[in-house]
Amino acid sequence: MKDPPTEKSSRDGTAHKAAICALLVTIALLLGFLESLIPLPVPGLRIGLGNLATLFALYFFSFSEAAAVSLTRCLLAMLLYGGAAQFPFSLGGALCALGCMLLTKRCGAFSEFGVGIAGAAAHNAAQICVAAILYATPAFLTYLAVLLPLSLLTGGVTALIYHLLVRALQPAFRAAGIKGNALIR
Amino acid sequence: MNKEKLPFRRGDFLLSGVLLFAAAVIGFYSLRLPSGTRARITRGNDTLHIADLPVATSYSIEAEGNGIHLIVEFDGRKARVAYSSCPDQLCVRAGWLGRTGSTAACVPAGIVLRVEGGRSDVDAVLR
Repeated sequence: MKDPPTEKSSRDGTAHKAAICALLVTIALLLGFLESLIPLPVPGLRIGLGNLATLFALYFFSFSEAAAVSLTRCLLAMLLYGGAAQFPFSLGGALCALGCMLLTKRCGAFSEFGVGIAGAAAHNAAQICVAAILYATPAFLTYLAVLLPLSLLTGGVTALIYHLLVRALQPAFRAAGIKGNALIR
Repeated sequence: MNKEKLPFRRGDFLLSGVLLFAAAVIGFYSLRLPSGTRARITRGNDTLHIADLPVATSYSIEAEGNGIHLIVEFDGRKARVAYSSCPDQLCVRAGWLGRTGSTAACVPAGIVLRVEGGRSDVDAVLR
């Protein structure tokens, strides 16, 4: 007979979740660093591999865990290699991406590809808006003509990696008892 | 790996269409902007340099902010950040700027190169 959940097992669940979130933050920071080494032809464009961690947290846990992962990643990235000047950009981008990803996921009309693309587009758009506000230069917004189509590509790549990873790791997740609401059927 | 179809939904295509349409509208608007008549370099609220475009002979000037060193180049109707000692090089990769409103910003240095003017208050002059 199965034991009823005790206070200890509940604490273990929380600790388990916190440990996975910390791991996701670490992976996101590492991916963000590796990504910064890849030269891209368009200034300001990022593939957004760090967003993979937020996507995982959003699908496997809930909004609060995804927000914790995303904001912790921003703070640590600033402390480790970003610098204070970039912080408003990364924070604005992360918050908008998180909000749009949550909305598209809750809406139900989007697959993880739509959610990933919405996150990438929102991240780019928010960063450009922050630049336009901070420098009082609305002309920065014209740059979205380049960044929005490219965010289809970058968000799509992030979502494809997420999709393939989840599919490949599905047996391991099941064996470990991890029940994500995005496990691919 | 089994050949499972990717789980696209209708909303994904709709979102892609909306983003492409928005980009096309913004792109169309930005291509209609006229050439600028002035290039201004600012650091915070301070104007460091103003160049009237087009410049007769090409030249470059140096600017410095938060310990980061920039070289801004002016040539004909255009201006660009030719060199920056910051690690991300976004302002350098913005390339030559010529249209009104086009801007290159070095965030760590707090320095902005902006092309202005190019819009006349009168529609036409009759002689």
